[in-house]
Amino acid sequence: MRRIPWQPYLYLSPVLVLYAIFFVFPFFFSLYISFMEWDLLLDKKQFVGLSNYNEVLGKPLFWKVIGNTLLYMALTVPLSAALGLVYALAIERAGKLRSLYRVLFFVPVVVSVSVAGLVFSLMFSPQNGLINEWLGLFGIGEKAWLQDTQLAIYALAIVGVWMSFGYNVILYISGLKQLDNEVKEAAAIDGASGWQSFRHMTFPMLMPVHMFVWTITLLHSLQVFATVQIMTLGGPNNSTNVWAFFIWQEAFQFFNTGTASAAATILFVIVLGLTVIQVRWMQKRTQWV
Amino acid sequence: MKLRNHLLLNVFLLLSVLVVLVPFIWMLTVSLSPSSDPFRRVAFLIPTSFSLEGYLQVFQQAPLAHWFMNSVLLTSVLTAGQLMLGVLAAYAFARYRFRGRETLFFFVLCTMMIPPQAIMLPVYLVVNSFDWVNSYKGVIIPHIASAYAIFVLRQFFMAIPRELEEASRVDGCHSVQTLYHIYLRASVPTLFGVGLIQFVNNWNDYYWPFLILNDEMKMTLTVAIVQFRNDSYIEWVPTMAAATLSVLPVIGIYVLAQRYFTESSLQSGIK
Amino acid sequence: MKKRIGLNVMMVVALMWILVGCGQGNADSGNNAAPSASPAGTEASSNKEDKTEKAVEIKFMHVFGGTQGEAIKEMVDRYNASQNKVIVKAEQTQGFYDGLLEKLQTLAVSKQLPEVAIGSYANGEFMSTRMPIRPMHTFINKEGYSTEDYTAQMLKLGQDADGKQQSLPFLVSTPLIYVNLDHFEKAGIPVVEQPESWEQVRGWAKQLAAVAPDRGGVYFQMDFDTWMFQTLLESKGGSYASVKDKDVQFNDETGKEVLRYWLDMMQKDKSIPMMNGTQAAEAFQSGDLSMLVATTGNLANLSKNSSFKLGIMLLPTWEGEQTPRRLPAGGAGLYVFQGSEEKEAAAWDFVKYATSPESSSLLAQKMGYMTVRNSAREELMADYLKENPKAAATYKQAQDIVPWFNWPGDAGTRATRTLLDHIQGSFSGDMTGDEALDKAAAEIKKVLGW
Repeated sequence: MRRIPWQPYLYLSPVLVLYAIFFVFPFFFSLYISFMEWDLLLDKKQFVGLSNYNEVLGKPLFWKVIGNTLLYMALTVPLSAALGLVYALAIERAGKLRSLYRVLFFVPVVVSVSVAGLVFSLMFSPQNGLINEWLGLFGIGEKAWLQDTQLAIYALAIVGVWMSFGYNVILYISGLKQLDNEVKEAAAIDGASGWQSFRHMTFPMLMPVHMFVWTITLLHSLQVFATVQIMTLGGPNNSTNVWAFFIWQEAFQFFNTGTASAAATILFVIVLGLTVIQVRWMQKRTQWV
Repeated sequence: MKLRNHLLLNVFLLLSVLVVLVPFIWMLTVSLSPSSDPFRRVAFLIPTSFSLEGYLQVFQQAPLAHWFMNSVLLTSVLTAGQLMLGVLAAYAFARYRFRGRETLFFFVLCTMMIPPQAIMLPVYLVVNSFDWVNSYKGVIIPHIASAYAIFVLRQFFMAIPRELEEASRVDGCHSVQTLYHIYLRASVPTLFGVGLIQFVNNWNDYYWPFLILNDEMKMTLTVAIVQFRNDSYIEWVPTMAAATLSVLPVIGIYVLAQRYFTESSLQSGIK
Repeated sequence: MKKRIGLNVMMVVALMWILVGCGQGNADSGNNAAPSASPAGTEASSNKEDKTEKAVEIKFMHVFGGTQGEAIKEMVDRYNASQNKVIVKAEQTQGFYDGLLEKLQTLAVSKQLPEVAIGSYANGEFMSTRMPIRPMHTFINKEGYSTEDYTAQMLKLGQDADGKQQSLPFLVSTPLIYVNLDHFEKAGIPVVEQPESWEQVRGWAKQLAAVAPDRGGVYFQMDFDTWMFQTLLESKGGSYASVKDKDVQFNDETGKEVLRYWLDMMQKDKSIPMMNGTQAAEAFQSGDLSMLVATTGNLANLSKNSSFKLGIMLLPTWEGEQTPRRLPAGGAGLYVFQGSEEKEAAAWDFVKYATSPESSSLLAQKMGYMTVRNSAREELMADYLKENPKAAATYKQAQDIVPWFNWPGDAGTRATRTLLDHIQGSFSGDMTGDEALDKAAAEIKKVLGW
C-alpha cells in the first residue's frame, strides 16, 4: 500500500486533460473533417468519403511538397548536426574564450523566427542584399535567391541551419563534458592519437547525444513553417512549399478544410510511424524512454 | 606548435562567430541608417551615417512598450504554467509505476513530433467554441502542457537517487511533500534552465498568437514587428529598428542566464 | 490515508485554480490595460470624455503600415474628433490583401468580424458572395444617398454583375511607369508623357540595362497577384476567361505573346531583373533599376525616398493594336459587415466619412492613391495636382479603368495563385511561357470544375 496507484494519474490529470482537449480531440476532429466537404463560412457539411484523400494524393503539388520537405530536411539536418559537433569540439579546445563562444553561437537560437525571417529576406535581396554583395567580391554574379525556383529552398535551408545549429553545439558540448575525463584516461592508457581517440572513443560514446541532436533537428526541419511563411510564401512556383505550409495554405488561405485535414491526416500517419520506429530504437539504445 | 594551433583555432572560431552574427550586425546597421538611404552606404556592414529616425518612427507609430508588456505577461504566465504542469507530470512518470505509463509517455513524445500546423485548424475551432479567440486564454491554455518540459524534467527526476525519497518517506512526508522537498529543491537549476528555454520559445512564438489575437492592442511584440510591411514596399529602417528592439530583451535574458541554459537543463536531457 | 487523499486533491485543485486564475486575470488585464497604455488608446480615451455614453465603437480593418498607415490613422482620428456618436478603431492586418482575406475568413468562423474592412477589387466576388457583408446599396437606397460625385468608373468597381453596389470605392490605383530621369538623360532617351508602345518600352529597357552591369531596365510589379498580366493581356485584346462560357482564355495566343514579351526581356535582353516587387522598389530607389511599372499607390513612398529626378509615364498600348488601352483598377473598396442595426448604422456613417471628398483628398495626397471623388479632384485637390504633376498623371488615364478580373465563386485565391505560380515558374526557366499558361489553364479549369 506504499504506492497508491491513483496518485500518478492525479498528477498527470491536468496535462492529460489538456492534451485530450487540444491534441487528441483536434486530431479526431480533423480525421472527421477529412471525410467531409465542409464550408466553414456558410457552415454547410456533407459527407464525401475518401474524395478529399483522392484529391490530395492526386495533386502533383502534394508530391512536390513532400519532395521539397525531404530536400529541406536532407539539406539542413546533416549540416546542422555536423556543424554542431565540429564547433563543440573546437570550442571545448579553445581555452579562455570558451564561454564567450558558447554564448555567441547560441544567440541565433534565441532569436524569434519572425526577426530571422525579416533579416534574411533583406540579406537575400538580389541587389541590396548583403549576401550577393559579398559573393560579388568573389566574382559571383547576382543571384535572386528567393525568386529563383532552383535556389529558394537552399536559401531557406541556410536560414534553417543558422537558426538551429547553435542548439546542437550546446548539446554536443554538454555531451563532451561528460565524456571528457573517461576518454582522456582511456586514451592515455592506449597511447592513442587525437584523431584515433575521437574516432574510436569519443564519437561512438556520444551516441545518445547524436540521437538527441538528430531527433530534435529532424523534428524542427520537418515542421519548418514560419520562415517559409515570412520569406517566400511557398513560392516561387511552389518550390519552397513544404508540408506544414501546404496544410496551412489549404486550411487558412484557400479555406479548404476537407483537403487540409486529409493532408494533415496523411502527415500524422507518416510521422506517427516514424516516431514509433524511432522511439523503439531509442528504447534499445539509450535510457531515455 | 601547440600555441600556433591554439591561435589558429581561435581565429577560426572568431571568424565563425562573426559570420554567425552577421545578420544581427546587419539588422543593427540598417536600423541605425537614415531611412532615405538605408542600403548604399552600409553594404559592407559599415554605416557611414548614423540616424535614430528608425527608432523614433517605431516609437511614434507603434505602442511598442505596450506590446512589450503583453509579451512579458503572456510569456511569463505560459512559462510558469508549463513548469507547474511539467513538474507534476514528470514526477508521475519518473517515480511511479502504473498501468499505461509507457503508453502515456509515448503519447507525450508524439505531441512533440506533430507539426502544430497540422492540427491548427481544429484547435482553432476548439478555442473558438470556448469563446477564447482574441483572448490570452486562447493563446496560453492550448500550449500550457509542454512535452519538452515534461521530457526534460522527467530525465532529471529519474537521476535523483531513490534513497533520498525513501528517507523522506520515513520522515513522514507524503508524496506532494516529497515532490517539494526532494525533487523541486534539487532541481532548481534545471527548472530555471527549462523555464528559460520555454520562455524564449514562448516569447518567439509567432503563428499561434497571430492567429488567435485580433486586437492590435493585444498583440505580442514578436507578432507586431512584422507590421511595418507595406503595400509592396517595406520600410526597412523602422522594421529593423523594431526587430532589434524585440530581440534585445531575449538576448539580454539569455546572456545573463546562459549558464543555466547550457549546463543544467540540456545536460539532463541527454544522460 | 483519507487525509492524504484530501490534501493531494486540494493541492492539485489549488494549482489548477492558480493556473486558470492566471489565465483569466491575464486576459482581463489585457483588455483593461489596452486603452490606457497606448498612443492610439489615449486618443480614443481623450475623445471618449466628451462623448456621450451612447457612442458606438466599431472596428475598421485595413492593411496599411508605415507612412500609408499613418495616413489612414489620421483620417480615422479626424472622424473620431468630428462627431461623438461613433468611435472607430483602426487596425492593420499583416500580409497585405491576401493576409487580410485569411484573417477575415478565420474571423468569420469565430464571428468576430470587424464592422468595416477594406477589400481588394481582386476579391470583390469573394467578399460579396462568401462573406456576411451588408451590401452598400441597402444603405444607399434607405438613405437616398447620392453617389453622383463618385467617379463613375470607380463606382463600378464595387458593383456586382447585376450592377448592385456591394462596396464603395475607397482607394483606387492604376499602374504607372516610374522612371529614373537621370538614367534617361544619360542614355539620351527622350522623356515623353506616354511611350508609343510596349515594344518601345522594351527597346528602352534594353538600352538602359546595358549601361551598367548590375542595372535593371524595367520591372513589372507582380508578386502577389497577376494585375500586370491582366493589364497587358487586355490591352492586347485578350481576356482572362469567359465566366459565362466557362472558358479559360488567358492561354490563347495573346496571353502567350504577353508572357513571351516578358520572357524575352528577361532571357534575351536581360533587361528585367529577377527580384520581387519590394526589392524592385528598393532597387529603383537606389538607382539600380531604370523603370518600374507599379501601382500609383507607391507614389508617396517613391517620391519621398528617391534621390534622383523621378519621372512618371502613362501606360502605352501595343504596337499596331486597335483595342483601346484597358487598365484594371487596383486598390480596395470599403465593405460593411452584418451586425446589429446600431453598429451597421455607425459603420455606414464612417464609410460615408472615409469616402467623403475631404477624406478621399487627404488619403490621395498622403498615400498616393487616386481620389474617388470628382469634386475632390476638381476642387479640393486642384492646387495640389497642379503643383504635383506626378500625382496628376494617373488621372489622365482614369477613363481607361476597367474592373479587376474576378474568378467566380470561392476559388479566386487558388486560381490567381495557380496562374502566378506558373508564370513565376516560367520566369525561373522551369518551363516555357506557353507551357506555363497551358498548364495553369488546365489546373484552373479543374479547380473551377469547368
